[in-house]
Amino acid sequence: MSTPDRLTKTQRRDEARATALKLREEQQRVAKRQRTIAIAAAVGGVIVLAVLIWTILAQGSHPSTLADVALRPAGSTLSGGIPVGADGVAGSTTTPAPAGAVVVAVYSDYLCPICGVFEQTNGATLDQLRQSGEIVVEYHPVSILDRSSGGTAYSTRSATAAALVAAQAPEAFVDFHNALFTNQPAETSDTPYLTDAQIAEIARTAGVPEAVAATIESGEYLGTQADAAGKPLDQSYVPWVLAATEQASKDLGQLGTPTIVIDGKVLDTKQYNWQEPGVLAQAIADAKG
Amino acid sequence: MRAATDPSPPIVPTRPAWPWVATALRVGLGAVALVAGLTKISDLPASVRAVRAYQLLPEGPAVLIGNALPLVEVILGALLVVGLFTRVSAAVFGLMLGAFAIGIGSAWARGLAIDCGCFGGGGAIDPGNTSYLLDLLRDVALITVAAVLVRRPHSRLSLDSALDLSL
Repeated sequence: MSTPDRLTKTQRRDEARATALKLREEQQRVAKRQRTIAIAAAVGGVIVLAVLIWTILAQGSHPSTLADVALRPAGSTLSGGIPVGADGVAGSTTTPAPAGAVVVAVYSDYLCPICGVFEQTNGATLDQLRQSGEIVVEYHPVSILDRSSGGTAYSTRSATAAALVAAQAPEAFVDFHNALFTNQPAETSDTPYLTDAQIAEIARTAGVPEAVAATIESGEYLGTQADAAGKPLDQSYVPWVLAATEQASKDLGQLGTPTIVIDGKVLDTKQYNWQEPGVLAQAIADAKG
Repeated sequence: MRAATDPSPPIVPTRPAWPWVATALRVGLGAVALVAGLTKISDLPASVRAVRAYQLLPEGPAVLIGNALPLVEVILGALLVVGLFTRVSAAVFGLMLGAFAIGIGSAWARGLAIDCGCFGGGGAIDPGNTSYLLDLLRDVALITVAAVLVRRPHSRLSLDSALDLSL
């Protein structure tokens, strides 16, 4: 009900001052808000751009499918398996599996302790059944434990060595595979991991020819991707190991090691505890029906 | 004179220690996000495998999230540690933690035996080695911290206050 003419001069001045103050505060608030929005837009824009570029690059360098990998061990499957039949030669096509042979796929990481236990318990059984032509063993070397190998990427190196041996000394593959488990380093961060020279020594003992073992010893088997003048990465089986691991993860959903797949069916370890002798043979017999 | 005419609401007196508590919560939450991101960022295929192991997402989105998540965690962690856009960063990270909790709870409910992959790793593990309850409790604790920061984001030693941003 305040009418201007009833107010004194002082009152009018006070009111005007209060209004001006309010206006200025409001302007300041708006200015602060606009500044915040501007900074947020700039920072947010940079972040969105960074995430976008990062994701595009990551999608691009994601392990390619096995079909796109230039260098694959001869006879290896497009699911990343190295089949071994009765003649014991990796990827051999000279002895086709007899009709009705059960395919036993074994996914293992050479650093995984339980994979070592599996080999110890069932390696001989698998060799026997394979030699008699009842089964074909599909070895799937995968690399998922590099992070627990003290920065030495032992999983990737050992699997790459296995792929190299499968390709260039296929008759020694099974022995080399077994020997890698016999000489398995512990899965802890404070033990020294096997060097390339030590892996080469294991290969020699398993009957791998010197020419092949030498490429392991020199580290050549890992390839180089550093300079454009040097060897490209696809001179090695590292891309194959990465793609095989990725394929295994896709095929199995949850990739853990060891995983045993009998004729396309993942072995239920609750029903068939392979840690007990004879159980795996029973599972294979059951699969055969 | 000014006090009599000032129309802005009175400032609720907060305990003087609070901004320091908020600083501790902010830096702590940020450190968790940073560590979670950094342990995954050097091995993106492993991050993708960890997402895939939950068996919740189709292949495409699983690969996308596995690749993008580590960087997003690192960025949110850095923002929280330096205190830039604390409220929004805490809210986004809190929502992500909620999604993680749903994933872990669902894996538990479906009887999967996987490592949560929260700090690298992930994938199938021995059923005796799962730690779903612990993972969920940790998630709930972190979500609580994030919620507190969304409600009261003002803290000491933050870029928000240094740049005088309105939160």
